[in-house]
Amino acid sequence: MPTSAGKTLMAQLVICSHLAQKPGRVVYVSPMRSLGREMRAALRGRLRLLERKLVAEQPDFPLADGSGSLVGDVDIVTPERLMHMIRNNPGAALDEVSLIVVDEAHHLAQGRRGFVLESLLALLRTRSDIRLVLLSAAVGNRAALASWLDPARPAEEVYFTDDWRGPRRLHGLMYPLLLKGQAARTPRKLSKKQPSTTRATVPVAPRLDVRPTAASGTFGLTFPGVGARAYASPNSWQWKAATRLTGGIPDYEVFAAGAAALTRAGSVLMVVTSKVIARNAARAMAEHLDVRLEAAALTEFLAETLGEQHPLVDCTRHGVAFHHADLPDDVLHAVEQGLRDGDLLAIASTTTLTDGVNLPVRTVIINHTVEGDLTRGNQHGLSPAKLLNAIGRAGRAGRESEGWVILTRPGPQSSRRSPPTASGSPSPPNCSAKTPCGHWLMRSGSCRTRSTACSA
Amino acid sequence: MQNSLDGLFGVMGTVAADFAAFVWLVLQTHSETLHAPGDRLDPVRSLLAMEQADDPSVPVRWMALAEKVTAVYDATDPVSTRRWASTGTSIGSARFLDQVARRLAEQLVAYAAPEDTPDEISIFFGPPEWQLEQTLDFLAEQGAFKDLLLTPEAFGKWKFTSPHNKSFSVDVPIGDAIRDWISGTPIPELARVWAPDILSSHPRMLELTVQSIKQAFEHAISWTAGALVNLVNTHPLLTPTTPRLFAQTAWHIRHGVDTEQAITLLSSGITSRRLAHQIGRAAAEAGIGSGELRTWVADQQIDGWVTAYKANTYEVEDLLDYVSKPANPLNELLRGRPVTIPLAWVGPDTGDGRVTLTHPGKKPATIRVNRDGNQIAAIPAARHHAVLTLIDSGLDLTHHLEAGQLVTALAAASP
Repeated sequence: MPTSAGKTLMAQLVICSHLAQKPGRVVYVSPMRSLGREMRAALRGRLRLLERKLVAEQPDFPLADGSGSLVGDVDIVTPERLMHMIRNNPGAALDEVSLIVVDEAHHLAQGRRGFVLESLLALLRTRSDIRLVLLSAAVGNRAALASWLDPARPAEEVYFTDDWRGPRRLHGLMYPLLLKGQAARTPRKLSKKQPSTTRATVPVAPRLDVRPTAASGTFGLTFPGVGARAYASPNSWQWKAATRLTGGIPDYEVFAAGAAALTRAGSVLMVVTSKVIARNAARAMAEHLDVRLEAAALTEFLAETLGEQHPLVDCTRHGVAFHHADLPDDVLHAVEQGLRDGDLLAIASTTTLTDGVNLPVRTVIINHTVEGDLTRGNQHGLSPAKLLNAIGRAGRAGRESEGWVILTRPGPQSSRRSPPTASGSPSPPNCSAKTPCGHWLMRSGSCRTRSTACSA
Repeated sequence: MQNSLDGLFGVMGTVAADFAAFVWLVLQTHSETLHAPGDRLDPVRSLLAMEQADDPSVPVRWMALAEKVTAVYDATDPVSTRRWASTGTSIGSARFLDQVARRLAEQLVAYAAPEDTPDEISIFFGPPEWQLEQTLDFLAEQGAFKDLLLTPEAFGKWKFTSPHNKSFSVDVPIGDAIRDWISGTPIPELARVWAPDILSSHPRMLELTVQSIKQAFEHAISWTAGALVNLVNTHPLLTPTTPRLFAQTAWHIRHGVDTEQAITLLSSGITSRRLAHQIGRAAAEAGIGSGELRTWVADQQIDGWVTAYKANTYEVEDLLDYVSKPANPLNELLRGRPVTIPLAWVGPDTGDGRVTLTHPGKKPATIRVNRDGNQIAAIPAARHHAVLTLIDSGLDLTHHLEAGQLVTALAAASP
């Protein structure tokens, strides 16, 4: 099933239905702690109505001996945790377990953690008395996987598959646009590396290009300028990476300004490459936003937990946060809850937040290299599965009717290639498109687009 | 490993190390299973990766590694093979931790009661277990925490050095730091204790403190310390009268709290360390054990949590989940039976009769029971979710106060 089609809800229904009809305990396995936290919160209410209980989290050592600490009907664990339990006492670990649900099963393909999950499944598949349910939006060879788990099943047999997806999705491209007409040229001393005697200081603005349908043209929106870059050349056609002088506004700050503008339409998730960029991008977004009263309680909690001077505190004061694996669990939990409750407007995150977590995000901005993207060099990029999951945060079923997915680029794209179109969306009756912040995009034919500035 | 099988112990921090640990586990499981069918490496051969490999030489190479692991396994004494399979680390790290465990076990034996001393407590109730504080002192004195930092699983996780600014370089002894963390001290205060005055409130120092706590205490050190304590406590050198290390030590390192009650809260859905620590300390001082904790916390009600522990919105939500009793009031209503809910308090001189309920709104707050626009009673925290389920059901309900309790029924069924 695709992202936003209700897999997490289905997991909950499978678990509750199983508990209501069949004997035995249930184990829910999530490779992501954030997803485990979310499932724990979501299941607690449902289980209460069934008069069932979650198993309390357990330490690695000493192992629960079954004498009381493992009381409960649903255990929520990571693959590492379940593997540990099996490693130390396979009998007790799987005692009375009749259903195991593995969420985000495409993590099988991920390096070392993937091997933990694979070896775990290799052990579990020998237990014919336990029903195994694997969930993922990003497994292409699901039939092969199913027949590996159950060799008795005919190869390539799939009972049911569905491509339905709730919210319509629109795709766009964002890049730093040089406002060449506003460039200022000043003399400079020539250097060995840059032989030009002219320094051109060019204002930079975030630019968003969208092509709503395959049949329509490209629509562009230029946000207000956010900084400048300097080039060693008087000629605008030479303002490229090779002539760029040091300093100037980095890409992520440009995209952060665009992201901040888009928060007027709903929450924004910006997926970035590293923890440092997550922090810096959040700070850059916060600079463009006013103090947000709704986030006051969260800010107070974070100031007490992390210290008033911690960068996250000033970000949340403006309704923005960053999220990565080096923050404590209670802080991550509060940040996730802050976005869900609408206290936060935007989050800059590494991929810790993109796998399956049900967040009410209107717009996802992918400022991350993607595997196979030659324009960004040979950097370590998002795998197809991670990319699918990241963009799947845009427009959650039951919460949003439409989501925006915006990929970032280092510059305008070639006129021969247009931005991707909205996925699975009907053609609109006219050629105009509305941005998430409610501004109408002006039609443009190609890269020589006449821009319209957004005052958002 | 081409030159010596001992090379296996140097395979660390890679997927090859994980593969070797899996093979070891498969071999161990096979050896402990009576009349296990098939070849003992069959589970390894049937890995998905083996089945999916397009290049036939790939599975051959991995199986060659599996054979070498098997050779090392067969050459290792059976007690060690079982112990090394338990840690969840690479086999090399498991062997290293077991060596440290042996050294600690040798020291512990010195604390055993003399053999000629009758020790009835040990005979009837098992070996004595040290308290957390004594265990931490012992591990720190023996340099065990520093040893843990040498394993690839924990290497580099405890450092206060910024790669971008050399002025942020502070040496914080891990043993003392663990004690500070477990005492429940807030992170900003820890930064002040661990760093010179100039740096302690600097944003970068706070970030380094948070990062080290997350990487070391919440993951690497708590994981490896748990494995080490387990290896010590199960070491063959220990006699029935040898004291054991505090078994839950790693759980306290993981969560940074010093009471059993706080651990109970943190493992039962409470996410805030600050809140768990405060409630844990208060419960310990009041002599409330983990078994009575839920009721004791519930009886303090939402207003009490806010007053006594300054619980914020997120924390109140967690506490409400923690104290809620499993119940399905809708089930009763749909079967035509009224639901009776005890109340937290009822105003003096309040008679029986019809009442209304006020929805608490988006943020968690006490559900008020009203009559003529005035609050006359409150729903207890333990029943908050049950009553919320009733209100949010959309059913047409009537509410009555009867003998100090709230009685709710379907409107059509009510008298």
